[in-house]
Amino acid sequence: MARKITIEPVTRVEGHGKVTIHLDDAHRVTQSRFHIVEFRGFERFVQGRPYWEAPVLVERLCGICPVSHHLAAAKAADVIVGLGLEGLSPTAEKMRRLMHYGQMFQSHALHFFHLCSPDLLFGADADPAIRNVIGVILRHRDLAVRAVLLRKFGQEVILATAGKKIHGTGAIPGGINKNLGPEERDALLRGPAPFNAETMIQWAAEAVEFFKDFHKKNRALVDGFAAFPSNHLSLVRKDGALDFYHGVLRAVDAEGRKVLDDVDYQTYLDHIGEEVRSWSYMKFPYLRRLGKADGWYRVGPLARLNTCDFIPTPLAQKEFEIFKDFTKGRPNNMSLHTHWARLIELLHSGEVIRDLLLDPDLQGTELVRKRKKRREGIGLVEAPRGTLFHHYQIDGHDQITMANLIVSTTNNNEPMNRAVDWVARNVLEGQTEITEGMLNRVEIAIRAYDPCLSCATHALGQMPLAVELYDAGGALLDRRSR
Amino acid sequence: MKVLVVGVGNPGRRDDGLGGALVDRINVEKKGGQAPISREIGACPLSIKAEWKTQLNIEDAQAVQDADLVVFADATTEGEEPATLEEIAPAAQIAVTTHAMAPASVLALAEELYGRAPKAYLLAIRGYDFDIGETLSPQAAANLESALSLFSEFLLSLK
Repeated sequence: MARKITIEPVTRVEGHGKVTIHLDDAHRVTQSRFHIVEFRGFERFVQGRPYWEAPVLVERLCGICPVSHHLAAAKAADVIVGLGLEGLSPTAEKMRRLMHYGQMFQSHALHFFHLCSPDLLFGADADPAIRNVIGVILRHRDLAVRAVLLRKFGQEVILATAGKKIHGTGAIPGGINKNLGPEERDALLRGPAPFNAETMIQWAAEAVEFFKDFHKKNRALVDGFAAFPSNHLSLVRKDGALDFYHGVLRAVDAEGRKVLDDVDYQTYLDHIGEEVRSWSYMKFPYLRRLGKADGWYRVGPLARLNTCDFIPTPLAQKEFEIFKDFTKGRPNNMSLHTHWARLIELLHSGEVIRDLLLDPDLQGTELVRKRKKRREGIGLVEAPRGTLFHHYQIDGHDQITMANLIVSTTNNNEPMNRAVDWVARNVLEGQTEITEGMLNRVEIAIRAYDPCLSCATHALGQMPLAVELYDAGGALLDRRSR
Repeated sequence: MKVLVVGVGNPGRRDDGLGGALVDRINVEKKGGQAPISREIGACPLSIKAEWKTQLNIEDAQAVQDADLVVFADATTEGEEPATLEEIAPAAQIAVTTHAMAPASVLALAEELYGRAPKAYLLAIRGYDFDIGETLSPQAAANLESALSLFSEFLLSLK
């Protein structure tokens, strides 16, 4: 009897996220798919609005990473007002960088504590009553307290630069609407321990050590779980350095060969295609040069450390060298190493925040520049979960006529499907019963990418997780829910 | 008594914005000094702070532990019409995404991290249309009025 296993995580309203796994009569996996929320509606939502509203409007996409959308839209608007990054004043560019690295810092800290550490500390087979953030607190109180403060520090950086922790208004077309006052700077740089930049860097370094220690003791799990070859794409600085705010687009294949060689992202449509598949609400981006079948790629922390040549801060660079040595300099294709890469980026973000706070340009007074207006602009940033594309066209009345957004989760659509498929074939195949541990392994694969459900609703009303088993005729065989 | 109202939801998804709409209305009434928001309980003035969040997260544990009483207001897809108000208890839950955290998990986090979880209620307001858009559906707008009445009655019942 053929079986269909349906896992519906995370969503409260139909159609936001679902895993389906099809088994044949011998319980072999014949197909697995990860379906996730439709994103396209928001692009229609911004049409007809003035372009200068876009940086604020798009923040409504997300309460977790609004800064990424804010800055990607602002960068596109910079192009519309006749500037690129090079045209911004030093104060504007550095204030935006500080905002962005604060965002990266708080998001990575949250992911480590909320999603990653329960799995690492308790294992996939642990009782769900223990395998959660409360379990982490009970066993590692210091770790939990630190995670909350790390996130809070990142949010304070955002508050100081964007005016609000959530849905700030700091970036405007051509610049920024405030600089950083000396008191704001000193509160972050020299605040009473532990709430200052140096302590945050130290804690981030210790989080990297925590992961490396876990890795030493759990090599089989960390190295083998959902490992599969892929291309990797991200922005890199023109000299090849890791850069979350600006740069050129680079992609490498699973062997490390450059398959997209540092191109100007204003030409992204020449290099990136988006495939529509009938069974999914979300598109599947690919590198045109490699085609739909082979051109899919990962984005996010793992991809960024695979594409960049070095990290331009000393502590993170040291960790980057250890990370690269592990694969002898070749690209790292192990899904759970995303957590390792994320923590190295947390450390790098802390170092960049400290270095920017020491830069007197943040107290400069030239906030906005504008030149000859254009009708089109494209803005890219590296959001916590990966490369984020914002593309707008406007008419003669400054109203947006076209918007195209490719979010990190869309870029990771195929890799997430591959990760779920790996679990299906390596954990679920041959099984006649779906255990809690098996289900959690599917979730671990998804959690590594932390898909963004930013445009999802957050209403009450549906189970956070439901598992359903169907026979070949579509009859429900079994159902599990949390 | 310090009362914290946390409205949860995405105002870009029509009725999902009910929690935020309730917060907006409370803040408008606060400015106007309207009863029962401006009432006193015994000799103590009622202090109401109302905030909107797209989704709850770990830092909300710190915010709730400072309050004497917390009301989480959220849209519901299947709950009773027009709205319900029920007491909730701390309970830890597994997270699949950083993009959602249940009120009960926030309370559990507050209890473990800060040693106290305040008395808490969930005000669930029935919504119908969760499509992309900024305005509430007519039925949801009517339910919002009922939810405000329910909230006011609740405040008046506090002793």
